[in-house]
Amino acid sequence: MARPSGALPAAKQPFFETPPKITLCITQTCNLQCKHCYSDCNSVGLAAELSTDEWLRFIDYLVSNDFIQIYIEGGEPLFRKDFKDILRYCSRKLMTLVRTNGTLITRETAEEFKEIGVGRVLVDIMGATAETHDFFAGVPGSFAKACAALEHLIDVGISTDMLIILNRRNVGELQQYVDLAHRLGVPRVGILRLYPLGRTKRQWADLALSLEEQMAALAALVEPKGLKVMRSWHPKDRNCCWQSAAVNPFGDSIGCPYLREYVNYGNIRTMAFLDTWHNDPLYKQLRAGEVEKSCPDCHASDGTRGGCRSTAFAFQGRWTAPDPFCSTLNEGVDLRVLPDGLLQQNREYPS
Amino acid sequence: MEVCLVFTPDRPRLFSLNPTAWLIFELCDGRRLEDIERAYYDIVEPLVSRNAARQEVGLALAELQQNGIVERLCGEAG
Repeated sequence: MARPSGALPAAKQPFFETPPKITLCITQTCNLQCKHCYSDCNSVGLAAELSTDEWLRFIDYLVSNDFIQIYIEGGEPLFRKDFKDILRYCSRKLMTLVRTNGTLITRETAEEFKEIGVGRVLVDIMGATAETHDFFAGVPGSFAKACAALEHLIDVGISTDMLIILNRRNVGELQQYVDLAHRLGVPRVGILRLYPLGRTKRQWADLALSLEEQMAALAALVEPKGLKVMRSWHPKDRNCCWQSAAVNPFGDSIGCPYLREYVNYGNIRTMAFLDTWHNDPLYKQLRAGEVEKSCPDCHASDGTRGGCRSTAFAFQGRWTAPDPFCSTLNEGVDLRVLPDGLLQQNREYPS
Repeated sequence: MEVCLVFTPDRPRLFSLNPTAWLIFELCDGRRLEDIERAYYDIVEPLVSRNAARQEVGLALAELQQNGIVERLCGEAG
């Protein structure tokens, strides 16, 4: 196993003067009631969410400042009544990706997405069976609808990903999951780590796996031929902050959706987004990749340092800390146990 | 290394162009093929021979065209 290194060559740290892509978390509402929801969504929209006009103006701003890609997520984006207007506005000039639970995508919706020019749709499916997925989603029938959505999207020729958040309740069916993706014709699966955010924090004891259990499950996976499987563990534990830009439903610049409970670099209602990028000290610090230790293997494969800043901060309490989800940097941190105080951290949102 | 990101809305995809492809893409501003080749050679010589420069332009243009990043205008030959 590689040993952590404190000093890695500065020249290899990626750098953007301005970000080419951004995540828009356009709503904190959803038609499902997922037990693990990172956004702590409900079905009722808050008046403080950005209006249609505010999102469209912001998209104009992004286009005029040379952004090239938008990643839209929620909540559930399709649950917003103006979603297709926003989507159409983005897709004219920006590569547009949508992350969704898939349950609101019918054949007609898929055809409309194709006509609008959506670049890629990523569908969250939390297990290989209806029993597992619907347990998480809290709404019976969600699994069947999500699988049908993928089939519709593939049929009309839209690139798709299937996303799973690895946890104790679905780890036993991970092989079935990638086999299901292959059967459905999905070209790419993303296996994501479990983040201690939103409702997941309150389910942590039931859902969290030790790092050893996670690595063993990933190592045992037999990837079907032709299916691309993405994963963010060692040796590809990225520190993506150098390129990350995101805005939450209320207009706060939060860097990355996984930092949603920890940072606020300013609000786009009162300041230009790029002012938050260029001027916020913490935002600049995180993008600079200043960390105490790095894994040479992860650095070699991605050119970034220290692993994910969200989980590093959550478990270690320091922005410069090593990420315990990397086996080289874990240093004995038990990922099944949340640090004291994390459960009490709940971000206050405007009503 | 610097790259150029290109978005093709008609076939929604993002492409990352290396500096050579980026330069040739920038030269595709409506000028004729032989003018693209000449302009490219003026920039890369003496490191690259005229023949090699022409080949690089040909290969890059074929790929750019195939991916819908540039298109050949009517009347443009060769």
